[in-house]
Amino acid sequence: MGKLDGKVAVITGGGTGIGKAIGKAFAEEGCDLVLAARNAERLKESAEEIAATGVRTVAVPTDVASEADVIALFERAMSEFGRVDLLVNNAGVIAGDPIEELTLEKWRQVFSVNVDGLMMCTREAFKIMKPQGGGRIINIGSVAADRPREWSAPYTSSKHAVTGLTKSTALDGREYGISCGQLNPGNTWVERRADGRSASGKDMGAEPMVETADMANAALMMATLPPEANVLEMTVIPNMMIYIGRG
Amino acid sequence: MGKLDGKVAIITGGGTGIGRGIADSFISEGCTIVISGRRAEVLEKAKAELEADGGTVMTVQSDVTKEDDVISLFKQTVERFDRLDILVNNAGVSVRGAIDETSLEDWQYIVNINLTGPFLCTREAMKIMKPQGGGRIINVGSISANVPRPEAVGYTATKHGMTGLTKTTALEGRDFGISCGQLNPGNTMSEIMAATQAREGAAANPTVPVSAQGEAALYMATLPPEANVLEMTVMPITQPYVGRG
Repeated sequence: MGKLDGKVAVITGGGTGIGKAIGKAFAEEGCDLVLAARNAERLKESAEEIAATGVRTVAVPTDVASEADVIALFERAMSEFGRVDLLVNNAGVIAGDPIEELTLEKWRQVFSVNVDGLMMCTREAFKIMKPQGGGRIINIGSVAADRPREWSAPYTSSKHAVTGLTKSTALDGREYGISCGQLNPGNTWVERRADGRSASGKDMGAEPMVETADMANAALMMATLPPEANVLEMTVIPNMMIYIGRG
Repeated sequence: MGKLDGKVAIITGGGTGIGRGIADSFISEGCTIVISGRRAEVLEKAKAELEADGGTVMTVQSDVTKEDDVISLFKQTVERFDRLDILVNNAGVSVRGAIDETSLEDWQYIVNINLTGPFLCTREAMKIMKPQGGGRIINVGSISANVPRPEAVGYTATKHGMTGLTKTTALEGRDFGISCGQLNPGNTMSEIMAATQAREGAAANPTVPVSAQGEAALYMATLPPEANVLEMTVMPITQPYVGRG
């Protein structure tokens, strides 16, 4: 018996990194999955790998910045499973430059995915969860929701905005049994950081990292609380991370 | 096989409320537990219940505001178990009242228990964990570490102070494999909460069971040593905390 037997989760950015690890962790507890990501090939590989655990896994190529894609994603979830218990808003991009060199295009690109995409997924999930009588939304923030790195104005600002979305979603969902919490990962080994460089692209030297499985376990803990309880926010970081104090 | 087999944890205020919830979750994963508190009869009752399903529990009657008591608590732990892997700074009190009606005595009472106590326990734990090569300290804060209730100046100020203690401990422990994180519970059905409900009504104060906080602390305690939950807030979804009326 898994802790998430009979549940259905939509996970954006489910083709790689933290999203894929969360998919695996949920699947091991019996959760059926709808995985969304832009890269259809990696998404398919991820879904096939997770489906081996025995749960039903549906891969839906999706750009969360596209309203039509997001609506189609949740329509597909409903046509396949008839319900959505969990939404993990994990899809995100990172980009940055020294602020005087920052283009509006780059700024908008980050916001369209990290903020607009998250809002649209939340909106579509609410349309399902409200009549359904409840659900849980887990937003993947970042320690950048609290403190910036150098050259990360779009990313940092977007993740601060995610905190606002989390709080608003928790408030608006409260009366409907819909909870919303935010998991803020510190440095985590995802593919795009495998070169050890900082996410902004600035070379900070090698930095301490934790595994994506650690983040997935955190999300699982959030997902398996009783429905009346909520992890409003949670920060998981490498113990050695510079974040906790100045040099 | 438990996730905390072979580990030794001290939980202050471990006989009741959230501390007891944490003790339940730790012992279910094989952890050896030392519970401290001011009331011997509460500790003995908890020990009997905790040991009912197996496991080892030591009780130490101890007031965290007394330096000698705290030193003795850690000394007895190491004498019996040779190590200390986890410290949960859970003991705490709430004193309510308007600022202009708060006596210095009441203020010092809550500061001593909620801040000085965790400091003393953290200091003694660091003395053991540094030479031992690491450990984990979990501070039980509160959502009052972020947003106050009315007429709770001492509680709010001490829980904000605990956030500073958490950050400093994490920073100073970093080079020694000692991690420190803070669990901020929202309304949880404990003795403190029962008093709040008696004062403000149950309807205005939805709660989660202590087991929810126990699970959260267990998650923090079972991370691999290189990973740390720096902060975590666990609360009822219907608690007014998330928004204005």
